[in-house]
Amino acid sequence: MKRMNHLSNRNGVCAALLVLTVPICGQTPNLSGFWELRFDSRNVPPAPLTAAMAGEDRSVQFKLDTKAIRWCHFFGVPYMMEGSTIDILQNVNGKEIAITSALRNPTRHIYTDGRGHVNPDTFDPVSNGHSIGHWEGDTLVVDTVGFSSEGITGIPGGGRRTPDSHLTERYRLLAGGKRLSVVFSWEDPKVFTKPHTYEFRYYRAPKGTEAREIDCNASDEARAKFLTGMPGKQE
Amino acid sequence: MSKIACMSLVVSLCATGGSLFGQTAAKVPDLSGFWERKDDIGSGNFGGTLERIPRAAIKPEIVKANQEAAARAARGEVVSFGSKWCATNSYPFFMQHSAAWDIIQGQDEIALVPEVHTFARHIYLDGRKHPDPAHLEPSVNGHAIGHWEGDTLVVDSVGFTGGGGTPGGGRVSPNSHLVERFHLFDGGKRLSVTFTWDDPTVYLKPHTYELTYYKSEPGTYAFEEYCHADDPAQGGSVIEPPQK
Repeated sequence: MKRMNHLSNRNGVCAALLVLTVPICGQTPNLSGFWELRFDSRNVPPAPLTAAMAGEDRSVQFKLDTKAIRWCHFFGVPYMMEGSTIDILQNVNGKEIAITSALRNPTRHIYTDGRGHVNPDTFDPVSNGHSIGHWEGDTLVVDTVGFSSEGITGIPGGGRRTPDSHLTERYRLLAGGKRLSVVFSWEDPKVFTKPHTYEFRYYRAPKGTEAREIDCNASDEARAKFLTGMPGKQE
Repeated sequence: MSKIACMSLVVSLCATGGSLFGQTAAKVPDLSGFWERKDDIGSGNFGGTLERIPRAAIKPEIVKANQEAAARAARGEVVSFGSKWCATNSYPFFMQHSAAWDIIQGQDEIALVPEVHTFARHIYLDGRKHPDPAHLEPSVNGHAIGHWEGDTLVVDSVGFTGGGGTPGGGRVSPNSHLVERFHLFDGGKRLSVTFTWDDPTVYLKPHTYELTYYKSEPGTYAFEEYCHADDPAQGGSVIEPPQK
């Protein structure tokens, strides 16, 4: 019923028809805009890790992620979904949705034109994976495979993204379009004993928000020392 | 509201494309999709295609600086470490690169999304103006606002960090002002982009040139053109000569 409220219509029958209008007309909610995470945006339970992953030295993931940051590798999914404000842009022709971040990270391309995943025999894995999406009512469901091991691979709650990972996301507007729920569900038999599911609730950024460019400079020696040295021990 | 009136509203919404949901079909050309350059003049390479672009009329001091840089390069000196450190590519580099780039066309914003290691370019169509220069954070893609003039998208950009070059021998500086005109032709199979750079610290007069792009095949998908500065092969792409 909350979804009906933002239609500003108190007639129950009409409100129901208007909600039905979405699939009837073939129209979809408009997720476009800048979205940001705040301190109360994350509901992330501990991941159900396999014994091998649970027993791994925590410094392994730390070193992998630090290397990616120090050398300005593409960060990829899932970090790009929380590393800065994101901008979701929904193509008016309905065939593609893009998610950009302020990080120097490739844009996510979510193809909604009905295509399937690319043949893994010919696809070069990438940090964002290959994403296809479709609408289930007012929910955008995104399916992603084809990840590389590039970037910040740590997953919120534990575990890491690997070339075998499969990610399903469900995007749905809340609070009259002021908030966006994204439910992430990771599957990877070498990492998780069952799907690892968590939810972010983004806040819509103020109107007029501008995209930023947070650059990365691998040649900055002071930065490199800060990232890889003992805390508090660098100039 | 009666049920009849309500049904009429639903029918009306469907007929108008459900504008209540902010997804009304735009009455403007659909530029979206992947676009790529082709060597359609037989130059043999992409650099060759840029040789056809008119030379920029640049200020004498810029001519001198360019000549000095060319002479240093001829002597074997390193004039740029960009490839060694995987530096971010400045605009308009990706527009003249061989890799395809993707236009995502929303109602209030258009994004130009490259594969090379740089940022997506955001073009705002919501009527906003450029920020006050005192509050404008320079960026490699500049601050871009657009509007439609008939079937042509006109984009006005300022606020570049600068440091890159343009085809025709120009330079991009923090003072640069760029106007671009995006226009479909050949039944939507090709896209013309006319660039006009103006910068009193670089040009004697505005530098205008046109690049054309071919629409990529349906089903085209994006790559990620990564660059690893910690890869010895990449780090060795620039080798400093012995110091004198």
